[in-house]
Amino acid sequence: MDRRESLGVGISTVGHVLLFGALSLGLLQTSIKLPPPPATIDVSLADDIALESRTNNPTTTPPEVAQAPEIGQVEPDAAPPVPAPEPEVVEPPPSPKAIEPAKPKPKETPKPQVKAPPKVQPMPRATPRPQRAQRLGNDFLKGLDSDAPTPRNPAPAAAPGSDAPMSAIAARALNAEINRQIKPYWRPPSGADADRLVTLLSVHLDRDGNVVGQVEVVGQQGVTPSNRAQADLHAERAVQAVQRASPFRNLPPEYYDQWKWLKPLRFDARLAQ
Amino acid sequence: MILPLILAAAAPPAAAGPITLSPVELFLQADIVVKIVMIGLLLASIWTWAIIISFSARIGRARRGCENFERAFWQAQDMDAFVKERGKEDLPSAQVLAAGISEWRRSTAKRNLAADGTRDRLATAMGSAVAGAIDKISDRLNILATIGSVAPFVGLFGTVWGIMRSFTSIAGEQSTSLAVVAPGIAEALFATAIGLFAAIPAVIAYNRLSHGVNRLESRLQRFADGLYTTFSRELEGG
Repeated sequence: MDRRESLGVGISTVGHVLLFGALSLGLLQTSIKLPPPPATIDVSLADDIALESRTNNPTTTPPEVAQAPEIGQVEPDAAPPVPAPEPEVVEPPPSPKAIEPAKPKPKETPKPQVKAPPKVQPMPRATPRPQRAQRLGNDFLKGLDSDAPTPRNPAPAAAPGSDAPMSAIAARALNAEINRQIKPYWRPPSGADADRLVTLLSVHLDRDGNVVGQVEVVGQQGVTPSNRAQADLHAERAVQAVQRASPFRNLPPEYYDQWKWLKPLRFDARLAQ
Repeated sequence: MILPLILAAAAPPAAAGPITLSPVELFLQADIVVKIVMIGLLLASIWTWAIIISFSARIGRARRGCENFERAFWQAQDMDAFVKERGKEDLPSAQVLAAGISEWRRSTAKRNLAADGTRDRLATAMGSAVAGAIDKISDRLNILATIGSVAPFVGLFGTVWGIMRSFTSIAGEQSTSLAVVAPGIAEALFATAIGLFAAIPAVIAYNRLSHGVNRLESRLQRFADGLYTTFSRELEGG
């Protein structure tokens, strides 16, 4: 190691000491900024929950989602009429004013009020509003509950005097269960346009799921001249399918009121698939 | 080691406030194996820079000295006088010239002169002088190559060891919280950082300096070729 090398060692040692000293003293370093701790959120755990949910889950029942926004949209529009539903004196003037400002003179408030109901267009618009608003105001949730099953699930909803309320999900599950048990026995006739035929039956069940009494054909749809010959056979096989499928099992006893009378029990080509 | 002690004295009091990347704290928190690795890499870095500095100075001086020497040689009127005056200088060119002149004198001292044999001997003597000078100059270069290729692996070894230790501490504390692992991994990664810190300058300097050595060698070779042609001309003329 000659003089030049020892000089190099000295210089590099000094350089390293300076560099690490600077790093240690924080001259060259950037301190890491910690993100601020997130704001605390109070979470309350509710354990008082009913065993069965009675509310319809909007994500799993698309048709009710479609119904709910319709009412929800009306609500802000109908909100002004709600506080004053009785005095119709107040309501008609703004509607003609807003839509047809030329016709009614601002002075004569009673005139458009009298004329409006038969003649003017805005009136029919105005009349449904308070109705909807009232429906909303009084029994909004109740209406949903009772209305929902009827269009969706004809069979359970048609049961008279159903006191056990049933959610749409449960009604659909019930329908699916009945269809599933009928399906193995359902052999629709084949032929021209036979897949258009639909037979509607009325079936009474007892608590054990047995068919009680006569299975009645309450209607047939989709009968065309080309499949008229198959129509009777279609109905007959539908009745046979119900009788063979009897007794129905696994139907929820707590909803017996829903399935003791399956009013329009529908047999079509789709069920056979 | 004295150096870490000096640095430790200079270190700020251990962190209660914001987390910092103080190298000394990272060093002090590390495992003994990682510490050894770090010290070794730090020494390697120091040595690398020492070699870079001294080598650059040496090769620069050799290049400038050779330039001056060769220019003076080709301008000299009397070759014998020039050799007597400057032949003993500590320069690669001077060594090559001295080797050629001594071989020339030894060969021409005989009565019956064999021209071919003399040319061969001259070429061999000057070629070996060039090789010897280059060998002497490029003495430390292999150390740079070694550090440049090995230091990352040594640093990686320290990192792997430190991370193993961190995972062991996870198992020990039964907690997978990042706060348990993070300091250990940070100090482990510091080993790799030092390894790269030593290796990168070493690799760059190795390439740069070996290029300088090659240039010096070709310059010496040209000087030797010039001498050889001169001697050869003298042989035929004499």
